[in-house]
Amino acid sequence: MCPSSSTNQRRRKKTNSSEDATQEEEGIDYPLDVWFIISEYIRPEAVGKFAQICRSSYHVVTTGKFWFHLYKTYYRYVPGLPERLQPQCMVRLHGLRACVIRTLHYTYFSLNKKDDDVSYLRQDQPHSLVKRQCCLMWHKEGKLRWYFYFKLKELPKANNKSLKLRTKINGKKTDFLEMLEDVAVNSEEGCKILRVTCLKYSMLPPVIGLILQSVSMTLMPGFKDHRLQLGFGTSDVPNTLTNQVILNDVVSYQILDWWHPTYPHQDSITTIQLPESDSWDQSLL
Amino acid sequence: MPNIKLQSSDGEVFEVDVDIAKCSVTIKTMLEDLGMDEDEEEVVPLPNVNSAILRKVIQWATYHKDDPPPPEDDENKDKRTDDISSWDADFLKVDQGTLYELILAANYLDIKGLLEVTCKTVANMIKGKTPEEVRKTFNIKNDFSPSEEEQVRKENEWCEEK
Repeated sequence: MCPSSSTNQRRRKKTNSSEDATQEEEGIDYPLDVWFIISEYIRPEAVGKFAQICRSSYHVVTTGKFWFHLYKTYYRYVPGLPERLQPQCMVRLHGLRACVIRTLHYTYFSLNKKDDDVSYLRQDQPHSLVKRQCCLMWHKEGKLRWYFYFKLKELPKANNKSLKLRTKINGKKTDFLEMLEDVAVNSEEGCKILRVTCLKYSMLPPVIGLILQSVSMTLMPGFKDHRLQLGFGTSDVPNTLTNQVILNDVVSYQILDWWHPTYPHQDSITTIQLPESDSWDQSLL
Repeated sequence: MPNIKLQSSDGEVFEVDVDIAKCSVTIKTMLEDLGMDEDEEEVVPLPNVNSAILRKVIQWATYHKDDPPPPEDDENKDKRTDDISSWDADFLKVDQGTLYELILAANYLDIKGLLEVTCKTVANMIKGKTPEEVRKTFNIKNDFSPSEEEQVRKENEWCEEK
């Protein structure tokens, strides 16, 4: 490469004490404008790679402009798309990133799945959920099945300040307006749902707030269905179980990331039914 | 046909057909706003473009002078990157430094067609490469710490193939 005089260059010298040799590293700081322009040609599947190039490209991926553009470019209406993800609701900056990612999984990624796609065979195993904290559990009765849901959140790591947070701490104080414009906010970040489908209902002990320590899946007598045992404790130290969840007659299970279209989000718009004047009058009578 | 004089950042003056120069919205606006007459001997200074790059820009604009005006920016349109003409592809067989300077010049001069084709070329060069390979190709310094790099990767698991 032959950078011109106008090109910003950063040089760093590294000294190797053993060999007393100097290695020079240099690189170009491409202006943000360039990254913004190139970002318009980045396809959804390449966003991660684009963000990983350097801090400037990462910065672009944290802006509302980038996510609005991605949404407008790849939005297609598909039946079942939640109202919150439809264009009339996609005007706020708050939580925009998560909404666009979810929309892309309803539309772009689903529509572009190849016929020979076998990704469902490579789904996560329940064991991958160990060391996550259960923040919600519920069940639902189907026609011939029972569905048990466990929402498991990643434990916060010490020293895990986000790149964005770090710049904010160094800069000015976060105020309410900034919070409203926070593109990256996502209450479901780091959450996965374990959905277990069973033939029969099982009474479960409450495990909300506890940490998943062990997972065991065994065949039930008859060798048809499975038994899933989830061991929970108050810490992530193994073998300190306090509660054990046992699900019998397990037909299947699924681990859903927050961006998965079947992940149970609570974003259906609730409308408060106001009493009509007639009915109000009648109730008074 | 009336000509106009364009001066690069390093002082070289290029005499160009006005219609060709006006494919740059920046130059077109400058001529209109400043009321510069096409017959005048005034020189239009372009302090952000050096002579080597300006020469390339003029070469591109001359070849594309009869192209229909670019369509209005349609944000809803999927921006394809596989529709670069063979002439443009040959024209952009340059080193990454020149390509980068051409993007900056196209952005400054507001030449939509050139900006699009140069960015498409870069987007195509990014395709199929790891972030490390992209950095190497474009001589970009990795300014992430290993933990930050891992954090960015994790934040973008949503677009990783399982």
